[in-house]
Amino acid sequence: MLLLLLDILIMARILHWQSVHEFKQVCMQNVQPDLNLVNLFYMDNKMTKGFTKIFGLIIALAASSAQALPTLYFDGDISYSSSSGELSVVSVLTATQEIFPSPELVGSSLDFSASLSSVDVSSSIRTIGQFSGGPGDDISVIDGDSNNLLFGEFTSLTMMGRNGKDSGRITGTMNATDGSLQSYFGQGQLIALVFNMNTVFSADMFNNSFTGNIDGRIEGEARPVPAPGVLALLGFGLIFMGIIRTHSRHL
Amino acid sequence: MNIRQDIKRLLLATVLLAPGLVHAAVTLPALDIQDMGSDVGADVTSTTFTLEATAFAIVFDDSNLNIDIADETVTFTSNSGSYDSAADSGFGYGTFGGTFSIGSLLGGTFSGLEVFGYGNDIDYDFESDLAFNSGSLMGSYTSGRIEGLISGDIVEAKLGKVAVVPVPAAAWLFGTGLIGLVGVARRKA
Repeated sequence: MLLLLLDILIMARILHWQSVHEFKQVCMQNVQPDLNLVNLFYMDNKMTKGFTKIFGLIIALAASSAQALPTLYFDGDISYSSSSGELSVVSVLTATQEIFPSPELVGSSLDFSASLSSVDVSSSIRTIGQFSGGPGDDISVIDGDSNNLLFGEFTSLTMMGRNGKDSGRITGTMNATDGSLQSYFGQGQLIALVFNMNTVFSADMFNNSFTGNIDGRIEGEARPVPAPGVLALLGFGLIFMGIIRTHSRHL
Repeated sequence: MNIRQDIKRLLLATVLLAPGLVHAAVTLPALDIQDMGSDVGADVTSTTFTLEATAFAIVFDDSNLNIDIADETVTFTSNSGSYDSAADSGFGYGTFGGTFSIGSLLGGTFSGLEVFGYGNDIDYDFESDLAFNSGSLMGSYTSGRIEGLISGDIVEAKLGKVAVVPVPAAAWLFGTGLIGLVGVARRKA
């Protein structure tokens, strides 16, 4: 799409060059150019310039529409207590994406907890546990420099897997309530692989306590940022237009 | 009488051995694999399984020991197998064989990669035992295991050593088997 727009822009500029060149030739042939011809040239020139400005703007807008997805990656341990019905995750940040400045990962923590609210055993193939957050924040993320990065409340949290398997997944949504990264994670999405559990997914799995490992991420809201490739294209276009403008002034 | 006792012993021995055979898991330390940056992610079709992601860390039981490694591209490419999106009461299931590589770290083959679909053509779980045949991480290990999830463009996976561990139901069998063995021994005495 961007290449198409660039092509149109270049074509418009070539047309503009041609009309300037033709006008110069007419001027060289006629000492006093025809007023109608002058008016026609200015009309054409204005239209071409307007045309290129519109497409330049479209390219600029297109360049700024690239999306970045701020992400926190984490690894840690998961445990479920059948007596309290509470699922707890204690983990550390292993990487981040599209978050600036990058938080200190060493010594960081990403912890969350939620309470079992229902178990869906309607299928003999898989089991789904539905969890809900408690009062106050359900999730906290603190970096290695003790900066409060993110606090939030779950709006949904589900643990599901195929019956008979010791691995499955946790998915959830959260509302960010506080922390320096709150603006990145207004409505965050959590997805994690749960593995190496000392139980397997089954209809009665939540009747007993279990532990395991977890590996996942929290994705924030997509943020519009210029993509490097498109930025280069935009820069190229701006330089090109600057050269054209300089060239036009010399005519 | 002796034949009956031998049969009992044989059955009990079978029960005792069974727990160790029913359940395999990835153990830590393991390679942390996720889709990052420009990774293609995973694609499951009726005849192919492909995955492109990044291995970026080795994770340990103690999270404080996690080691960042230089990013290595992970690829899994099937050359046999199939997937049925409605194999099991609306849930998909398939198995694939093929080759994999993790940059210069590991390379090898997989023959029984199981793919379990949640029926929406977006969410899948997958797992497979792996046979290593190259790579700097291979060392004395010639086999391993990968377990992971796919959710649209997202890939989360762990690749590590394979562990055979008893599951609770099998552990129960193990316990009753032991009690039975003690009972037989006492009767014999």
